[in-house]
Amino acid sequence: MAGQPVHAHKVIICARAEYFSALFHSGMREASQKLITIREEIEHNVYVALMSYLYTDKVLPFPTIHSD
Amino acid sequence: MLKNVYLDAQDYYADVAFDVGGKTIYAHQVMLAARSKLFHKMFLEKAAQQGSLGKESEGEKESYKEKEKEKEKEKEKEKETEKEKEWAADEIDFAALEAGFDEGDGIEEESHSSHVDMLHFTEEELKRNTLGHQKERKKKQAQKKSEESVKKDFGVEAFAKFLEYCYSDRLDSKNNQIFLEIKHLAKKHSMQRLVAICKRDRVNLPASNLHADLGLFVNNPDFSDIVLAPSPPSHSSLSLSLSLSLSLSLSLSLISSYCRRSLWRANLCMLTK
Repeated sequence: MAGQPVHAHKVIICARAEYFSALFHSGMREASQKLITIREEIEHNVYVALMSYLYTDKVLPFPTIHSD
Repeated sequence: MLKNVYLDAQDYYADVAFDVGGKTIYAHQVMLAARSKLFHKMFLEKAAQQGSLGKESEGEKESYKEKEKEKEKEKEKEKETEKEKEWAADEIDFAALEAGFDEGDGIEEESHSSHVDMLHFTEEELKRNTLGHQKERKKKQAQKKSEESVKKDFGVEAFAKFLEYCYSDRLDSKNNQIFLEIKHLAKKHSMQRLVAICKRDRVNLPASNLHADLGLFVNNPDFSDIVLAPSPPSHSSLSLSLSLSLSLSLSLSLISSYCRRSLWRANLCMLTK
């Protein structure tokens, strides 16, 4: 995830995505950390769009994503 | 999905607890703040009081100060209105209203939570609202019996259902008294859709706005309990070198164990021969 950090709320992202639910319920250190380091090289705006979907249940138009 | 989160809130990162009528109800600040500006304001003010605003910007702190000033002004206005109230004490039974709140809905702060003294704020809000309504009525009518008949209190079940609605945008109840209490709460929190549901007004029922409300908190630091951050380059190179050294040591140990085994087998063969 390149660029700025993304603020999120555990209750929402865990309820909406099994990935995050598993991440925070796995007993790994991420469960107790506030700062989660994402190693994948994902654009910041892509992650914000993902969060937007998790929160709003809608995919918003996203002109700034690079097609590749 | 989110309704289940509310039902299991105690085990699901609950960061606020309401003690209503002796029963503790757990919830999440972000969910309630998304649905109600009143909750939002209350939580932020409580956080400011507790001095846990290290993560927030100076601009936001200044806005809190401005809010506090506004609040002080409102208190002054309330004092003035209280004087007026004394003049009309025979007509308005505020003591009964306050007594009702003190007995029934004492929502207190839990030791581990960062929640506001909700009773204090809701009561002020209620007074402000009811005072306005009553002043209008006083001009029109001298009799206030209809006002007294309106239920100003809310119980555990009504509050629990109200919170459940905040998570699910649905209200499942057949109890008319619960509907009345929730309607009062909904009005106080400016939740028009919930008011329409309580009135059973299906014609003017607004569309569900749960996800639209939650959308305001996308990448919002308010009540955020997690930050997804990109891995710094130094950290990634360190982890890369660590992983390389780990894989190298593992491969070396495997090779050495293989060599030992083969040597041990060779020795065994020699002995058997």
